[in-house]
Amino acid sequence: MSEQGAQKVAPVGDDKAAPPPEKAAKTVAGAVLDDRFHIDYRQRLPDLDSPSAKAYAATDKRSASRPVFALLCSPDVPHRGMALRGLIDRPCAHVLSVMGSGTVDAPTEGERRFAVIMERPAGQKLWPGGKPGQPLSEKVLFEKVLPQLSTAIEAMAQRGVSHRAIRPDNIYWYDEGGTQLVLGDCVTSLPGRFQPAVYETVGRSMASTYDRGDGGAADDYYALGVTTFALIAGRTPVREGGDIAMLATKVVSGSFTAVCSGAELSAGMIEVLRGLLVDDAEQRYTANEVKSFIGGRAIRSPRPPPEKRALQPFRFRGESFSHTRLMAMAFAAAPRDAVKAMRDQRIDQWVRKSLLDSELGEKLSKYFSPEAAVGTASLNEDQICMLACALLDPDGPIRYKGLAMAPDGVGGVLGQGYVSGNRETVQAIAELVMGDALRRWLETQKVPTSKIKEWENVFAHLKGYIGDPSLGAGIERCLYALVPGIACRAPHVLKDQAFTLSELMPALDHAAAKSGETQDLVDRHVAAFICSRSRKAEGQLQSALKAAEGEGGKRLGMISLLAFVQQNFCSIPLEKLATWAAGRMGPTLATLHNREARRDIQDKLKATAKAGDLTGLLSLLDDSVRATDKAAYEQAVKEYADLAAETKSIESGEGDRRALAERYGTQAAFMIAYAILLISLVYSYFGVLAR
Amino acid sequence: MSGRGRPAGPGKRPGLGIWFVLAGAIVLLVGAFPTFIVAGVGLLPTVIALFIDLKTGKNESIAVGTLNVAGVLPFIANLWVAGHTLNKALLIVTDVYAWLVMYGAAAAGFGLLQLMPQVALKGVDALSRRRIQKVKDRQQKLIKEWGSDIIKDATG
Repeated sequence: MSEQGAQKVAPVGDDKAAPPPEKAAKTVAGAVLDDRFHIDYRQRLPDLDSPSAKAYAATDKRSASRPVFALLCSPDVPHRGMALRGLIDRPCAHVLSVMGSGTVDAPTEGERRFAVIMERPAGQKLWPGGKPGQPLSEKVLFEKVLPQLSTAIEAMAQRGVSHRAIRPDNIYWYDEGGTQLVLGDCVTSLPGRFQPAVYETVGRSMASTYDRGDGGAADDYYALGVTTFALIAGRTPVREGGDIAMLATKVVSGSFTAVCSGAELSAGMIEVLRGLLVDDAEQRYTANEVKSFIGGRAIRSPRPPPEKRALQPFRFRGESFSHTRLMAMAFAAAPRDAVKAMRDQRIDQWVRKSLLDSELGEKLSKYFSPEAAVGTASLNEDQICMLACALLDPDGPIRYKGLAMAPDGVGGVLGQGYVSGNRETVQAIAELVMGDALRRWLETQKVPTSKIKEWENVFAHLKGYIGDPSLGAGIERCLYALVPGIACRAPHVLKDQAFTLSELMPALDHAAAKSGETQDLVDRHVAAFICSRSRKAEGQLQSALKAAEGEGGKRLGMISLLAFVQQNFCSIPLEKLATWAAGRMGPTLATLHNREARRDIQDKLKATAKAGDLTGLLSLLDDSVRATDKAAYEQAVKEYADLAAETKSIESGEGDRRALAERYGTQAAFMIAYAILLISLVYSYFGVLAR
Repeated sequence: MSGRGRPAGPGKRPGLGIWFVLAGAIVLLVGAFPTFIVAGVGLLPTVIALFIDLKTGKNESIAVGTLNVAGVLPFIANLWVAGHTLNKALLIVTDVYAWLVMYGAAAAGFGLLQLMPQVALKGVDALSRRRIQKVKDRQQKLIKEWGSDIIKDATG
């Protein structure tokens, strides 16, 4: 996947300490990034533009003597997050150094933009403005271009990064004297995104331009081969009929012939180009061979056999095909007809009898004959077609429902689906990942087992995400796991272009200012973005969701996620977000039974929200507060019930009261009577008898 | 007589008290005839009460008897002081004032027994009302403190 190898669809680690709160500060004439780079919006540098990024002058406060410039990326084109991470502050020989990156306010562009700060070359591009320049001499190519750029490719490979944007208009003279060359920007767009198809290998040129996959050094050497030819010829190799014709010629005659035919080249140059443009990546020249050759060692370039050609062409939808790779392209364009042809076993027979490839015939029978052992009954037409294309063109992309994706380029295509709002693309990728056909597609691949395992692992993770309906997972999670260089696509933070958690929190703060408390700022995109950027945050979300009871519990869970992110990745106060969160805590606050405690906490929530402290908010309504309230409430309920029972007992006890009154009244009457009797006795004795 | 107390069952034999009264009367008749005359006339309400009060405990008889005796005692004491003669005894039993005192006392005994339970009932009712008010005040306080849900939760 793009950003593939290194990333393997896992969260991007638990990013250490929180980065500086507000990475970029806006100034009148520009912006400051990382408190270090000042971007001057008054000074455009169109000569340094990349296809999807505009160049502006910039200065490095730490080293004013070192010239730098800024590339402001298009919001619609994801950048190469992993490559950026691999190259930043880790200069490679003959590659423009990447010195910093981050999102800045860009009033000239209308909104916020992701900026990449790069070392500024003293010289121009080899092809300024993308227009072919004067052809370079073989001397310059052998002495400068080939050795320096192969060194660059090698240096990048050692950092686990491929350039994937090697073409004449992306190579600069590093010095004014024109002695040193450097490769230009390779991070502001996904691999091969703006490469003309001819600079891509056959397999990758068939894939979607939105992401042709990171590939590896072999892909860069291929691009170097085409670049070398373009520089010596003073033109981009083209064919009448455009890219498709060039691709067909590459398939039929091999890349070297397709690219270089008709040009007058020296024997030495032919050998080098043949070595760089060989279609088998295993046999392709690397820096060692290029340098050995330039050093004078006689190396015979590889000459792999041409693509198998059928004795009799296969007719499909009115066209004739003699090569399976081209047939696969045609099949992908018409899956229904392709499946029919497969099930008719016409292809089997053609492959065996005309192409004389019994091994491929066996494989086709294994999958598509009526008594096939593997069976494709559970697959739909698009999946069957995908599998058929993979068998016919194992080095080709995954061809599914009109999409053609390099296995390491699914992320970019998915990203484009989101950027363009094309739900069909997103849906197709989700279907692809969840279906069984992808496993079978991987079985057909001729790449090393380790690579297959790596892809299987990636797709297994994606399947897990899509199969999980909870927040933080789903297809959105696949997007952020596969494309670290895409901004969070949640509509309410999209304008803020948040690529990291420290950028997401201020973006949510802005969004909170505009949204009511009824709007859930932690939607599927935000949750997936957070989880993909921090494994600890993912754990926090999962435990919060597990413990959540009812709407209030869910809301509290989301707020606890945001509090975690604020605490760990963004130490600035977020007043508006905290105010929004305090409002969202209403249902939870309402679960508190004690009215006075509720009023008290409500007041404290307001005060804490003003301080912009999400963790503080949560502590006001943490489990212990709620448990204490619950226990006290239960006690109060019991007391109320006892009192009610007592009232009822008193009110219904008139008979008992009468009996009681009778008893007490009689006793009182007796006592009075006895008292009078006693008085009478005393009177009789003392008043009469004793007189 | 009011309906208070449990009536004795039909055919129930007279209690021990009556026999004591009869024994006393015989002793007085033989040994102190003037006293017998005064007591016989003065305690007539008690004798009647003993015969007509058939309820268990004979509360009315006791109340009437106690005050009746209290009313008669001063006259007997007077009789004894005046010489304990039949003539003197006849003077007493023919004195309207003496009748008023002796029978009034018996009537007071009866009235006391009627009045006191009513008074007690008023007192018990007042105490109950006061307790109910206190209970309701406490319930209101609980509602104010915990909300009206407490009613539902307490009764549910």
